Formats: sequence, structure tokens, C-alpha cells
Amino acid sequence: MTALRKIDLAWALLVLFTLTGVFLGEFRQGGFWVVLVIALVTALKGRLVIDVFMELGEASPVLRRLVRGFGLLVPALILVTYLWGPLLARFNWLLE
Amino acid sequence: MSAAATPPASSEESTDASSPATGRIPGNRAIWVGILAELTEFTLMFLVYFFARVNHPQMFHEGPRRLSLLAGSANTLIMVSSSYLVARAVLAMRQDRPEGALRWLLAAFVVGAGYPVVKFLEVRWNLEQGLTGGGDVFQMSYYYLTFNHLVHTGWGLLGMAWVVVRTWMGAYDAKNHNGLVAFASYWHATDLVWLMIFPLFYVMP
Repeated sequence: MTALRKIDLAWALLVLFTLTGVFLGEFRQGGFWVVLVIALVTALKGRLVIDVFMELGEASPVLRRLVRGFGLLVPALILVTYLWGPLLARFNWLLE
Repeated sequence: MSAAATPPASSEESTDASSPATGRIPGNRAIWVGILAELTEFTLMFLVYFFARVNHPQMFHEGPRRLSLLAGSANTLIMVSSSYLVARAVLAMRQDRPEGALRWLLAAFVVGAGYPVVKFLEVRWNLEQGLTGGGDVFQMSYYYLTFNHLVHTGWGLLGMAWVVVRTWMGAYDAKNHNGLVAFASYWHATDLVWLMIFPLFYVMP
């Protein structure tokens, strides 16, 4: 695939995923599967920007890992805090 | 960390002038110090957000209902589209089409300038609804994170104005456009940060 097609496709997917987020935000249904979709969509959007727009897919491995790690942080924490939020809240005493 | 380019893997890649060299640092090292500092700053703020969320789940459950999903969605579309237009500008420059790159950059600037406009309207609407920085922990984290992002977007728009002028002056060409790529990397990083912020305040149930 040429660089031009990659960029065009990435933008189209970013718009599609954003509209998916708008749909989920509008109807505000809870539950594990909705939260899972939000986390996955967020991770995919981040990955598209990192690999296609920033061109880190073929760049320095150190930069690629650092920025990809950043792109996974929020999706991972969305899932972790949804699944184990009350348990994590018990560890507040560590910060006191 | 090596910026040295390695040989392309295939003959197709070697003939594609629009592909960057493998293993390089996009732009220059200086911009990546700034970008990694930005990502570190937002990583800390995200940790604070999730800490507050697990301790005040009800506030974070109800909070997004009070914000404007329309404004958040509009700014998301603005950021991804402006980022796309900047990527097209870099591609045009790499293909030795500086006039095309200038047009893509001007389009990116016009679209990107919509971000602070939407943010201004959003904050005005928020204040009319009684959503202030002195509100609950959800509102405080919302203002703190999004205002920080607005500051980074402001820097990005100034940087974009600079590369527009430099491109117009003919400072870049197909072989020498590291300054343009450095700016593009910063703008994409700012887009990336917004894509992480958007679900936290506007979408999460």
C-alpha cells in the first residue's frame, strides 16, 4: 500500500472510530462490553496516529515503544479501573 | 538509539520516494525531548484522573452527561483532520511538491484553528450550565486536563504558522524538510493526547 493510501485510510478509520465513540457517548449504555469497545477504539485510534501519521512504525525502536506504550496506557487503565476500581480504591492509604 | 537509515526491505520500498527511512528519528532529537516531556506530563495527569475516578465513581459516572458531547466530538474530528492534512503536507514535500505542501499546511491551519474556537464556545456553554473549575473532582480534572491540552494546541498552532511561513519562503525541499517533520511529529503527538482525553470525559459511562 502506498504512503498516500495509508494516510487516507487512516483518516477514514479515525473518523469512523470517532463516530463510534460519539454513538457510545450519546446512548451512554454501561457494561463490560461497552467499556471494552471504548478501550479498543481508543487503542486503535492511537495506534493509527502513531504508526501512520507519526510514521513511528518504521522509526527508531526506542521511540516507537515509548509512544506505543503511551497509546496503550489510557485504554489499559480504562479496563483495569472498570474491572477492579473498588479494589484499587482500597489502596489509598499508600498515598497518605 | 541510532538515527542511521537501514537498507529498505524490498525494491518496491526503495523506489517509493514517499516512504521515510527505516530506524530514523522523525524530525530532530530536540523536538522529541519536547514530545516525550509532553507525553510524560499527560501520563501523570491520566494517573491522577484514574486515581480520582476509582475514588469518586459516581461523580465520574454522572460527569460526562453534563458536558457537551457535540463540542468534544467536533474537536476530535478537528484534531484528526488537521493531523491528516499535516501528514499530507509532509508527503507532498517528500515528493518534491512544495506548493502542494503549502496548500495542505494552510488547510491544516484553518481546520486546526477551529479547535480553540470550539473550546471557547464549549467553556462559555459550560459556565452557563454552572460547570466551573471550582466544582467537583470530575469538573476539576476536566478543566485541568483539557486546558493543559489547549495550551499544547496553542503552541502547535504557532509552530504550524511558522512552518507555513518557512514553506512559503522555500526553506524546505524534498531532501531537506526536517523542520517540517519535527513540527508534524509534535502536532500528531498533540492529536494523540486528545484521542486519549476524549473518551475519559465525553464517552465513558
